[in-house]
Amino acid sequence: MISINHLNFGYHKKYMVLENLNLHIKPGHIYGLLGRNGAGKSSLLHNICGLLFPSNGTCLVAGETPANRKPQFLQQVYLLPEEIYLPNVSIKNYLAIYAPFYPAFDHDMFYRFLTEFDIPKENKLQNMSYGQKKKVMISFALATQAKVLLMDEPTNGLDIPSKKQFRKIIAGIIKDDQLIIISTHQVKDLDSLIDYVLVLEDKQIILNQPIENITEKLAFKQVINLDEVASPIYSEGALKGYAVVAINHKKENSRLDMEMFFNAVLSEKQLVLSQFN
Amino acid sequence: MQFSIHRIWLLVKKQWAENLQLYCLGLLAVTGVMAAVIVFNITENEGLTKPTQQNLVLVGLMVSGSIFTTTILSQFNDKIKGIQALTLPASTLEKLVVALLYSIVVFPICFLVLVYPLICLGHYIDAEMIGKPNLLYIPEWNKQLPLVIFLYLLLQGIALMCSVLFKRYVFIKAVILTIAVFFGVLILNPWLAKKIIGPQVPKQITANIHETVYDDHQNVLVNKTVKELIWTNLYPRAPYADMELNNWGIYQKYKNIDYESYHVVIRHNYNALFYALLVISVPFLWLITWFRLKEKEL
Repeated sequence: MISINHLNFGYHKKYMVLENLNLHIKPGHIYGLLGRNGAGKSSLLHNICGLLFPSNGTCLVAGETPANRKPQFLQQVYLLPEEIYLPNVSIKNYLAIYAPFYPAFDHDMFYRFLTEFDIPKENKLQNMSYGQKKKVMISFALATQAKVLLMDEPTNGLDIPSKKQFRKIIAGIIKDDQLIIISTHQVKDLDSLIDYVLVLEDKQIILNQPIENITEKLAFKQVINLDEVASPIYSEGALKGYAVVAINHKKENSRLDMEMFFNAVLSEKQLVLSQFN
Repeated sequence: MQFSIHRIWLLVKKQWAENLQLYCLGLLAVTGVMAAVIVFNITENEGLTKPTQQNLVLVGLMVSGSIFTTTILSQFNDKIKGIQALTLPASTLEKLVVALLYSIVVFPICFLVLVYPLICLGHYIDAEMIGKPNLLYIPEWNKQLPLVIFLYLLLQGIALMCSVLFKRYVFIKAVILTIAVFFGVLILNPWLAKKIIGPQVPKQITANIHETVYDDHQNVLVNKTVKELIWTNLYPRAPYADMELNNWGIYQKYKNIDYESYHVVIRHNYNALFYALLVISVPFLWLITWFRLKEKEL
């Protein structure tokens, strides 16, 4: 569904944000795009939806070149940006203005999500808090039923119960012909939500793996003493001992700790990546 | 190229619904300014004369229309609003057409609906209540109207182009650009013409002379084209002004009356081509705007 080959992109010719980036992803999954601040996550998403144009390389999304920004393409690809703009209209009017642009828009789904997020339907958008606006936009994005849904830091501004609600909604919505990419640096928010991890580092996607593959190769443990682990890759001091990422020699079942994994990738890049090659 | 009337209609509704408050306030402000100018003119000695009324309508429309036009595509310059504007499922052409509709149809209608009644009211007070002998300006189709419409389209074309060309202070930059181009051409044209004409040595040439002879009441008596031997001393002038022939005139007898030329101009066969270029400058400005919008990145 998304096929990116040797993509280069930079805001200035001398400095590239993305360099020789390759990415091939298929529908039916929720992808978590992880990366440091300024790694180029938003730039990548903007290249995918046609807001930015690559300097070199090819980018094909749902068979189209995003930079052409054809209406049929834009109906299929929805970007929920980190910072959102909402006009000074009511939710009902917002829907009347924007929903007709998306042929597959589901009004019932939109109102159902609003109810789940506990948003009053009669409110004017400008009178809402930032978190409430974000919830309206998340509901709208999901109700468009776009084939490619790009979410840039969607949980920013959401309170803890809303983050939980967000995870619940997203987990239940994905269809076989849809894909969702969630970009965030708050990696904990993606726990038990995504089924693929993409790590953007050094201007490239250095890791593109399903969760089960990660937990098959790596074990995530809590230990009192580091000697208890055979091949630790990365460890952090915890309340009782250590949180450890280790090579999963014994094929143990463990739950992926997204934050630990991300830190392990950043600090022991070669060691972690070698497990997947 | 993608074009759908349905999406155009959706974009028109979107523009209206999102900016209704701003547009109402803006139109009220324009009406207030126009009312103040009308009152000021009524208090003057001559009152609200017909040319003043005409100037108020035309200049007001040109200036306020240009300010309005610079705001229509402004969301494309803002990072946050721009994401929504660029990813909205409609083609660049459709987005541009809607901007043009607002600029050259919706705004002039709103402006005239609000301002012309004010002019009528001002004239009523001026002529009927105060008693000044002024006539009411009634817009009518005459030779000048196509020129006025063209000038309006040209200004709106420039304003629209500038709104996607510049990110900030769009109107000010648009005015500066217009002035720079206007005076640049005004200065460059005579210089270029002088270069083309060459040294100013009067010489004899054979030219097709179009002669029109008028009587005292400006009725046309003769209208003919003749080949004549003339002395030239050409003076380059401003763009779209005819070239002048200096120290040369026609003296001829018509039905035993001596006629003397008082307005002698020289016009090239390709004169119309330059007017055609001026006319196509408007769609050309739209084309630049379309390209710029199409290539817009955030």
